[in-house]
Amino acid sequence: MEVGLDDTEMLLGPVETYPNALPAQETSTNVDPRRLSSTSSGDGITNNTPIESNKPATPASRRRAADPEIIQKVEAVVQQIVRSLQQEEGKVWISLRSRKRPGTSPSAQSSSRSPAQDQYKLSFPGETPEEAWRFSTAGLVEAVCSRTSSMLTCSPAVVLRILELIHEALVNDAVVSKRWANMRQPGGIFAVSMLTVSRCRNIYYKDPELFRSQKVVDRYVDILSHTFGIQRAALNVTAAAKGLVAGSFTMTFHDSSTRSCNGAANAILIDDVDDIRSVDIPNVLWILVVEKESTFRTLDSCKIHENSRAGKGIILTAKGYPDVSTRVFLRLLSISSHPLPSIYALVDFDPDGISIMSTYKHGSANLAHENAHVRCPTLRWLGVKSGDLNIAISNTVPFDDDADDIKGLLRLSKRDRKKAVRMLDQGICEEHGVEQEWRRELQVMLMVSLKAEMEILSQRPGGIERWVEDRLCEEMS
Amino acid sequence: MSKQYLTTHTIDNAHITDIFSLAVTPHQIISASGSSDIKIYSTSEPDFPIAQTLTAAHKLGVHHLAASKDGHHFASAGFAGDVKLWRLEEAQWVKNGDIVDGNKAGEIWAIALSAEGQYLAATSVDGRINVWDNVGGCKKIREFETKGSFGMAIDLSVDGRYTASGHENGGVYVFNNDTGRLLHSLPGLIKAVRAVAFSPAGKLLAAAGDARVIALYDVAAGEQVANLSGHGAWIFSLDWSDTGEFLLSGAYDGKAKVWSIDRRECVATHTETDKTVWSVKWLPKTGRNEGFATAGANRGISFYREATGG
Repeated sequence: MEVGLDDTEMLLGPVETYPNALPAQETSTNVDPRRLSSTSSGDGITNNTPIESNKPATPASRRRAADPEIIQKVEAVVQQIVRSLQQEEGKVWISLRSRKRPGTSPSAQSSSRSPAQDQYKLSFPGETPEEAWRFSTAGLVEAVCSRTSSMLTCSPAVVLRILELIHEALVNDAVVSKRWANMRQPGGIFAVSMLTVSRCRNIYYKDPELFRSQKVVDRYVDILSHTFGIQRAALNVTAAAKGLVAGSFTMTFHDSSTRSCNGAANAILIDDVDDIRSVDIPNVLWILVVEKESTFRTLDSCKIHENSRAGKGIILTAKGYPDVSTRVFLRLLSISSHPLPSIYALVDFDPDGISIMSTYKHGSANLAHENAHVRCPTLRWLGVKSGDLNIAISNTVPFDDDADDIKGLLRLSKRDRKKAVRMLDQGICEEHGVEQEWRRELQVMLMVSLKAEMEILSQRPGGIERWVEDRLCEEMS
Repeated sequence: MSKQYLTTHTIDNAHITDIFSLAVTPHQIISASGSSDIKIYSTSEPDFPIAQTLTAAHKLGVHHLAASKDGHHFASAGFAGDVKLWRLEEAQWVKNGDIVDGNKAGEIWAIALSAEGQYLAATSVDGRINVWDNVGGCKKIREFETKGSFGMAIDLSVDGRYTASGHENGGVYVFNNDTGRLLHSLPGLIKAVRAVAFSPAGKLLAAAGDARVIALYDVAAGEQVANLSGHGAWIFSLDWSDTGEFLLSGAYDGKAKVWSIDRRECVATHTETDKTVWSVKWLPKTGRNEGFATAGANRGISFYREATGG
């Protein structure tokens, strides 16, 4: 049985997702003066240059200094296509490297996939008429892939168009440093305008008909950066910022400017982490990574990072599967101060929750080439675990109540079960893998056939904030 | 009136993780856990020495065991949906075959074996109930359809005539294996049914789960005849004593209970731990006294014997 790429990605989990920001807002190439004024409106943020676009483009922004080599690489691919067109070879191809996917199911392993097939070619004209949408949009391109059926989703048209857009971004590399956008202004959440750096979302909106979905863009940008052997940021492509952080810390940027955020400020959007050289977190004892924004907001509004019995902390969320920026920022936090803070994850008790935690801790399967910079191996699991589910049942619900009525307690879906089984078969949750507790919890999840959202903790006396505080104290004592 | 059961022995850390299932033969107790090994202990000696370990039986861990009444066969089901058959040969267990559902991996869940081990019945995640003939190539001989709700529990009557299944949506079904038809759809439990068990004589069917009560049904009439209430948590395991006088149950909160069928009440409650009891089994009778074993999240197997009067 062959495992489709889509399916595998879904099961492996860490597909990065992007908020549904309005395309108009993000693709705007003009700096909206209102946004800039809003960043200077204070909220406890110091050292924040109000009009950041006044700053000259400096090499301090490492990521943005487009590497001529990369431009050459991109151009070489296109030139090669043009050459083969001119020479009327009859076949045109793009060579890509697929991402290695460790821990596929036994059935997939037994299929005849040799290591050499890490490399594969997309060529056209091809032989698969059902891929006509790509052909028509690009005018001449159709995907043929001898490798696996999963790779039929690869489209030279898509790849070409993405290359074109990346090239544009690299060539017009007039860097404007943007930094930290304050959010929760009266006008809603702000996305700082992007000038030359492409958001994956921007790329998608340049040609939604071709790309069909955001996922397609995400996937090929990752494949391309893997092919070139560079980090995605070097292609001047970033995901739309989505991570939020609250607490006390001081960032030092590569140009040696600093910015302090004290706990009184509202949550801050995690963006442009490549400009940060280091983060200083004096007196911070713990960092809590929260899967969901709603729970993050609850904890933020009661200022748990300020007033907890467990001491000062920092709370952080990426609203689901974390983007690279949030993971890089967490890593900066995790290695920045001595003594090192304890780092915990609060995720749903379901396969996705564990998978999200795994993305923070061990990296994502999709971005294996970037993982070394973004892992946070000291992360520990605070909850929700099967034991918490027990308490939720026996303490807050009378015997004659319906388990289905407990808010946040849900039946495991077929997809959940499949995903849990797949995770049990992967390296870290294997019999002697590094995450034995995760393995146990996944098995128990399958046994009880239930999942629990963090909301079940809200129904406890004192709410979720009390639970978090108690658990932090327990863990750190 | 209550009965007294004393702890006679505990095998600590019988497995490195939760023990999800126990099976009993006349001289042995078999345990399966989240690890890939299946362990077999002798029940003939007072200290329950280990008799055999079946290493790497199921890579993703084992969640269900079922032994034939004659003690010559047992079956194991793993988290990948893989089912293996084992046969006793010269006092050693050897693999006797695999059950392959033509469907996707991970879909087989609960399993039951007939008295001589010839037939294996299994539930699937999508609610189907299948029966295989283990003699001559493990062919599927029956396919029962239900409403598509996850089949969490299954049992075969001792005479092999009936299959009962318990489902996530609260459904309890009894099928006639001879005719291949649905005999009863039993009402009463509206929540997930995690255990079903035919009484030794096949007259009664016990079913339990998230409703925290044990429903007793008259199999022939298809009517509920009693509700045994007293558990405060989800019930995961049921087992009838040899004579059918007592029913043993284990729950998520770590409690095991013994119920008198005559009196329709709980006669003993045991809490070795507050950790989940995944499996409870009566032991082969030695002398006059009945005994049972419990296992679960505390990774050990606890053995109990009825206290002798006076």
